[in-house]
Amino acid sequence: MDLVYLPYDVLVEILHGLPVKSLIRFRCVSKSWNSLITSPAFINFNLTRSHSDSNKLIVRYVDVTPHVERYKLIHEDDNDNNVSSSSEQTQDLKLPLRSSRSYFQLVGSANGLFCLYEGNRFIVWNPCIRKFITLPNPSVTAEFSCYPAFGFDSRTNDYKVVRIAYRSFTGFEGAKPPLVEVYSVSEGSWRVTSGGDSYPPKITMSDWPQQAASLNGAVYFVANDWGDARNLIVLSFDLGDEVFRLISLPNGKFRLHADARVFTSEFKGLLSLICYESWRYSYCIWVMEEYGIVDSWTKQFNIDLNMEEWKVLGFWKNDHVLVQKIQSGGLMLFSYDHVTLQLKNLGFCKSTGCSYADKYVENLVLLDKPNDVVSKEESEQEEEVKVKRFDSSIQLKISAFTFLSSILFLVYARYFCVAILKY
Amino acid sequence: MSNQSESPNPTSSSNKITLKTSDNEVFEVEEAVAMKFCTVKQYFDDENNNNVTSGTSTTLIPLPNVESHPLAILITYCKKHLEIKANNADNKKEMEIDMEHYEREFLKNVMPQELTELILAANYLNFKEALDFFCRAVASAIQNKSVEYVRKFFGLESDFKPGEEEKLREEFAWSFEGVDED
Repeated sequence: MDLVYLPYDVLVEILHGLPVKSLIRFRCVSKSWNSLITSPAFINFNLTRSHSDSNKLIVRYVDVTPHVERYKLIHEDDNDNNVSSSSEQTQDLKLPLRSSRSYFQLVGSANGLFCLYEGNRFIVWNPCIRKFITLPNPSVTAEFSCYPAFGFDSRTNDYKVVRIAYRSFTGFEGAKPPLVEVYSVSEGSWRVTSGGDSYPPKITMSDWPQQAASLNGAVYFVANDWGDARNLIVLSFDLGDEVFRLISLPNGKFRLHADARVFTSEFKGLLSLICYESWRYSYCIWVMEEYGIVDSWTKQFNIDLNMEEWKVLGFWKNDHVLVQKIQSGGLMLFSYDHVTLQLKNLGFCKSTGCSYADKYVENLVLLDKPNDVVSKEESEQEEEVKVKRFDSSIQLKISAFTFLSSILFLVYARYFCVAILKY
Repeated sequence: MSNQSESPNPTSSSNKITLKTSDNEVFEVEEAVAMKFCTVKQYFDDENNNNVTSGTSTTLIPLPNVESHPLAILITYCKKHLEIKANNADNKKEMEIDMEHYEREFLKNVMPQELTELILAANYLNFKEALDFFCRAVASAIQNKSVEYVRKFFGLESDFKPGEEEKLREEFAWSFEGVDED
C-alpha cells in the first residue's frame, strides 16, 4: 500500500474518536503522535467529548476486611431492565497507592478525577489512565477546622483543590475570616489567595460536612447563617476569581436547627439541594433553575422509599437518583427513576459505611504530568528531610540571634566606653 | 450584483454538473449531490460572484486531487445520504437510525485501507458528513489494534530514540492488554 499522509486536522479528528485506552497505547506510534495526544489542547478537547457517555458510574466504598477503600465501575446497560450485576457490568478499579492509615478521606470528584487526602497529603487520581499525582504539602496549617473541596474551572480548563482553613473557633459569629489556599493542577503549586477577604460575616460551615458539589466553575458548601435570618445558606467559592459568595435558600424553608440535613449536588447540570427530612424519613430535591436567582429555587420531587437505612447519594444519567441501602454485610446501590418511580438494582458492595458515587468520565487529564511513584519509604524519607529542614531553620534562627545580640553588645559597649571617656 | 441567487437551487434536479477527476474520468452528477461537496459549491459561488454563466449543464469542474475510484464511492454515499434525509424530513431520530444502518452496510464493502483514500477525497471536496463518518470508521477500525498495525495503516515509522518507546510501553503496560491480532 502506498504511504498516505493524512492532513493534521483529519488525524486529530480520528484520534478524538478513540477511547482513552487506545490513545494511551498509540502514544507509542511516533513522537508526533505522542506529543499530540499529550498536548493540553488535545486533552481538553477529549474531555468535552467524553461527557456524553454517562452510562458508567464509579463507586467508592470502604471494604469490611481489610478496612480499605475500594473503587468499582458500574456499567448500566440501557436495554437490560432487570439488572442483576454480572461481571461484565462491574469492574474493580485499583487505587495505585495506599493510605498510611486504612483509607484516604475524600475531597471530591470532578469529570472522573478523584481528589483524596490524609492530613496534609493530597492526591489527585485519574482512574481511567491509572495515574495519580501527589500534591506538595500545603503551606497553611489549620489551627481549627479545615474544609477542602475539589472542582473544575472550565474558563481556565484547570482543576483546583481548595482548602479553607479557619484560624479561630468558628462559633456562632464566624469569627476571623479563614485563610484560603488553592492548588491549581495546571500550575502545579499551592497559592494562598486573598479569597478570605470576601468571606462573609456570621457564616460557619454546616455541622454535617459533606463533599462540596462542584459545577459552573465553583464549589458549593452548605453553611449556617448566624445573622438575623438564621437560615441554612449555600456558601460558594468561585474557582476562577477565587471569591466567596452566598446563595440564599428558599425563604423560611431551611431554618437553622431544623430537623433537615441539606447537601449540595448537581441535577441536570444545575445547582441542587438534597434535603433529608428526618421527621418523615424522606428526601426532597430542590433545584436552582436559573443560576444565582434565589426565586428560581424549585422543589422538584420527593423520594419516599419503602425500605430502611437508605440514603440519596446523588444523580446520574441526567435525572436518575442514586440511592444506597445499608443491609447486613454491606450496601446495595440503586438507580431511582423519579418519573416512573422504578428502583433499579445496580449491585452490592461489601462495605461497612457510606459510599460515594459519581458518573464515570473518561479523560486524559494528568497524562502530561510527571509520573508520581511515591512509595511508603519515599514519603518517610520526605518526612525526614522536612525534619532536617526544620532543624536547620532553627539553627539559622539561633545563629541570627547570636549575631544580632553580639552587634547589640558591641553598640552598647561602645556607648559605654564613650560615656566613661567623657566622664 | 446580478439578481441571480448566489448558489444554484439544490432542490432542482434538472441541472447536472460534470466533475473531472485527476485520472481524467468524467462524472455527471445531480446538482444537489455536487452541492454537498463544499469545494465544488465554493467554485460555483465564486463563479457567480464573477458573473460568469453557471449552473448550466456545460459546467465542467476539474478535481485535480481526486481520483475516480474514491469519487465514485463518495457520490454513491452522498446520493444515499440525501435520499435518507428526504425520506425522513420530519423525523430526525428515524433519519439517524436509517443513516446508521446504511453506514454499517457501507463499511462491509470497504476495506480499512480504502478509508484513507476516501478521507483524502472527502477532505479535499470538503464533504463534512462523509469526512466525519470516515474518521469515525477509521477510529473504530484501529481502536483495538496494535501500535505496529497503526503505523502500517498510516504509513508511519517509529522515530523514538532507543529506549523511549520501551519506557512508555512499560509505564502503560495495561493499555497493551487485550489488543487484537494484526
